[in-house]
Amino acid sequence: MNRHISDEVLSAYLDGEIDTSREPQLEAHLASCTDCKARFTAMRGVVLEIRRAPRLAPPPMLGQRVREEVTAQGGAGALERVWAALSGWPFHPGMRTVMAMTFALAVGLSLVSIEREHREDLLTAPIPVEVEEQLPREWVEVLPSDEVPVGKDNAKTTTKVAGRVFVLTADGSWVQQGLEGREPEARMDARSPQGQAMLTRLTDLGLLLTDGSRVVLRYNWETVELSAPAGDISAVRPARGASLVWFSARA
Amino acid sequence: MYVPGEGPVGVATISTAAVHDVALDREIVERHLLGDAQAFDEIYGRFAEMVYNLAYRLAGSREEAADLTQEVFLRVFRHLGSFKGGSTLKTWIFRITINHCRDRLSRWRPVTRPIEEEVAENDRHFADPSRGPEELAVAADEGRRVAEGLARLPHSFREAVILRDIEGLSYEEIAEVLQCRVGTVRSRIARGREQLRTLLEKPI
Repeated sequence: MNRHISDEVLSAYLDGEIDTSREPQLEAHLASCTDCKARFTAMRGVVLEIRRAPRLAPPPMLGQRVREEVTAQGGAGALERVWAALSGWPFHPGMRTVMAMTFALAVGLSLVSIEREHREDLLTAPIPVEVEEQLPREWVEVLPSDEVPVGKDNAKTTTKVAGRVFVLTADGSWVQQGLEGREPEARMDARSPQGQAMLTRLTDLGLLLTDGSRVVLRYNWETVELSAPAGDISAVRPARGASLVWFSARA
Repeated sequence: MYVPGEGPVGVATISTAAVHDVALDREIVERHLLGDAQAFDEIYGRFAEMVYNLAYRLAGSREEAADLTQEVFLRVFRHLGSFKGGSTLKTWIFRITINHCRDRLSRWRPVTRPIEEEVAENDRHFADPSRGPEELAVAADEGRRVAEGLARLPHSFREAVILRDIEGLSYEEIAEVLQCRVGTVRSRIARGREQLRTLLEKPI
């Protein structure tokens, strides 16, 4: 590769959005071309700066405001539906109004009751892990967490996680395809701040870590090994409300 | 030789995250349609932080972000019955958020507007409690610079960069949200990052 690498390709490479088989060629060029290396380093710096920007928590009362609006909307919608239904009946118009308002009052009272009932656990309720098999069994078997076998004796090969393809190696590690046999440049505990930051960005990695497997991947232009103690779900639980799905991929 | 626009080849892949999201999304929407009041609260719990942060990055103000978030969830509530599961709920809600912000922000005010220096206001507003005070202070300063830089990018570049680098969506997901091709996403992200790099090198 003699021509300089375009910004578009450098940017996609940073994101792991190019075929990993092309990475060696790009890396060889970056190692020998000071211009491309400088542009890549600068772009990487910008990306890291953007990604370090703090996330904000929504105002605590916002959920309450949304709920109130939704309750009002729900009531209004019901009133409209009742009014539409009653419009076809041969009632006196005044009678229809009274009936619709009575229904609206009943709906409002029941919604208030439901709202009170659920107020304590609203927005903090655990998200149920719902697992369904939707793909051909020869490619994937999705299991409830209590049925997942220990180890991956039957699991063999690739699945796409966090935008990358991983391969299960002989030592029980999930290695991003193309990095097999490569020595990691950095090692991270999934419970460390850096590990948690990575899991915030790439929540799917939790899927591979939960049984204690190591995960080796390209991350910010480095080969990084990520690991967590077996069974320590808290270390790898995705941060943004997602739940874990266990799986094994069979040949 | 790498050919721009050519995707990964040769490996049959599945996305377990997508399987999970689709199943969970379908279940929660069905519960909502059957009248389970808690289903919508769960949707809010899953996506509120995401919508609020995206709205904040697009609007530049905490107050407007809260209003936009509220309006987005009302739209979600009204139209949840029309969600067909063709995409994940996440990308569907992101799309609603982007469209609503485009609509509202173009009508309400000029495109450029000073970003409020809110990020350093109070640690309790940060969504990540695991970060220490010093780290938060540095992050707040960087966050302000980045927010100001992002606000100066053209809309299309800003949306793509935010969805990728702040919200962590894949190129494919961003293409779904922005209703464009993956190649367009790749180009917008690259150009947005390059423009942002130029902006961040200068005093803003």
